[in-house]
Amino acid sequence: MKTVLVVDDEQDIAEAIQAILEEEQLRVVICGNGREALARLKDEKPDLAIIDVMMPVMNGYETIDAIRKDGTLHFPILVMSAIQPPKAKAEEQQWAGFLKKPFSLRDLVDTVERLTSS
Amino acid sequence: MANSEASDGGKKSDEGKSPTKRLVTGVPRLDFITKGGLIQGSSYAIIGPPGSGKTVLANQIAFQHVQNGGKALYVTLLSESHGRMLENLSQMTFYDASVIPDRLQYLSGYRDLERDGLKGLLELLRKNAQVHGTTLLIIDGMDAAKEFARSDLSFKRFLQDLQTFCSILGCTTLLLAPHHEGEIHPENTAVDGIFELSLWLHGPRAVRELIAIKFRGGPSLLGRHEVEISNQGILIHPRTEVQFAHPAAEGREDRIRMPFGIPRLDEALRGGVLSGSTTLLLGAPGTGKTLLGLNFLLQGAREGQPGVYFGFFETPPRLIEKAEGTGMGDLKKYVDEGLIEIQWQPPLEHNMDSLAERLLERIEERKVDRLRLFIDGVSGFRSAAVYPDRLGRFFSALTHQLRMMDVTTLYSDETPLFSPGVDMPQPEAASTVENVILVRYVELRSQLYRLLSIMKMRESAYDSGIREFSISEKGIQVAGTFESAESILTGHARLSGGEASRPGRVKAPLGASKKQGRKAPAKKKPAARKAPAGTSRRRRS
Repeated sequence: MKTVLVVDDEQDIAEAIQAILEEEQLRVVICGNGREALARLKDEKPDLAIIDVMMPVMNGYETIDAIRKDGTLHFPILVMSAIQPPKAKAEEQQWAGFLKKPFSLRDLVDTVERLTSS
Repeated sequence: MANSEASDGGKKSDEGKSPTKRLVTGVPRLDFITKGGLIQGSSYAIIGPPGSGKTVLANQIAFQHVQNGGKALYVTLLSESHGRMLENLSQMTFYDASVIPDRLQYLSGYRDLERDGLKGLLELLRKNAQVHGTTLLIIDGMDAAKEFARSDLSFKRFLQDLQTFCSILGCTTLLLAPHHEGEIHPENTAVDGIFELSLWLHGPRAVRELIAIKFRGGPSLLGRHEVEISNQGILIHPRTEVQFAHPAAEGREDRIRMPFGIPRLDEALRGGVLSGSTTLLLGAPGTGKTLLGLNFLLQGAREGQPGVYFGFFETPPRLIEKAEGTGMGDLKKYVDEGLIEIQWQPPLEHNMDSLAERLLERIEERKVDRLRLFIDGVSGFRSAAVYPDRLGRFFSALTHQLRMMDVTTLYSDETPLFSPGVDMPQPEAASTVENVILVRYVELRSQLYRLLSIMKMRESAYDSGIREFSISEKGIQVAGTFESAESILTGHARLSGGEASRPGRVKAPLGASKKQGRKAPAKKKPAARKAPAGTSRRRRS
């Protein structure tokens, strides 16, 4: 079973994503901020990370920077946010995809399916 | 610090006290209500039922704050998701995605609240506000935080800790909570100010209000103020009577006469109404109030004086058409030239304070001298009143403000169509206006006569005789004193002495065709009868 790490401070949204993806036979791990996610990444070894941009303690951009800097963590990163981030940021941090909140269930499932099957 | 300003421009006040630093909200007229903005470093509760506009108001303040150079942190606790909230806000003109997340950050604090209680939430707020350099902190959903408090006392303790931290940081705090009638919020005793947003039904109409309940640290316009929410966000309309409660100066000294351009009426008015005065034109529907008012504006325009028609019932094309059919064909010319401005208020749901604001703002924008204003239909304001008992104070304030702006105002107001007596629809107006002109129909020997009389003219002598007038394609014509009947104002007109003994000799109404029996146009018969004692040529102050 593939593992998806969901990093979002909005607990209800993280739990909704978890419920949807578990229906798709995926294992989901939830973290409330970037620092918590970094602490769990090495143990969980996710096949995909879905990371929100605006979070307390460590935001999404800082979390992705830390993942890229580590050099040992290789998995696609799907960014989600209520705001449209700059294109340059997506290229610089090599995002595998972006979902603008609020997104539809179909968009989420299709994107996750594409990124976990590749 | 950016986004703030000293309440008195940075100078010490007369009492030697240091001025309070203000956070300018940019919300139209909220800073007027608070006399300069929120007090920097203070905390404010924004309460109200769902849908009353708390989130819009807080976000509007936040976007303005970051635009002015500040940094805002918006923390939600079990309220709508950030995605949904920002999607709704993106329709607003104040929304600017480029400031998110660097200058304006949205975080959810519920996870920390659920895991570690109020202590965990406080820790999250402290860490993030400090790192982010927050100068405005908004917590949306204080009811959820309260649920995690063991007691009211522990909740107050949390608020105190939060306020202490924010005060050290110089950060202003807005605490948003749902509110229902009669509910008591422990945070209300701890905060420096309370703004309640309400949403209720007045008949079929939804009324939004902002109630300024408490504002520590400075004067403010407490009480209810109507609110509108549009794509520009929240717009507050402070009560007109509190906006202009302390007029700054007296009106212009060099007053002139403003004639109507109707010879006999102007004679009776001793040359016209005084500039800067207010005149109430009373009459039943169809008696000719609108045309008299237009005549007043037109005469001004012919003398080079600007005019404004502010009406509710006639569209501008209808008004011009009406004027063209009654000898006022040059109205269109003056409207096209911009000397006369027609401000038509479509017959929708209005807010009377917003109507007054619109009118006064436009007059201020024009920056013209000797403006003549015709407000066609006090009833337009009356129907917009949610609290009818305010009308007297409202008109008094509006009238006084117009007077201070040297605007010569003519209000028209309707009396009942079929009523024998004459009652002022707005009795309080009697003391507010300087002049009252009554126009009415009188039935005499199966004929309808249009009559005009000056009922009151303060600071001037006037002729109180009742005059017949007509409206034809040539314009308004006023005849001499209408002497053939008595008791006209009571509505039960009867022929006077000589006329009563000569049946069939009553003159037809002025302007009626000869077939109807009129032999000659009415002629002025000056001083044929003694004027009622104490009215004519009496100077009143």
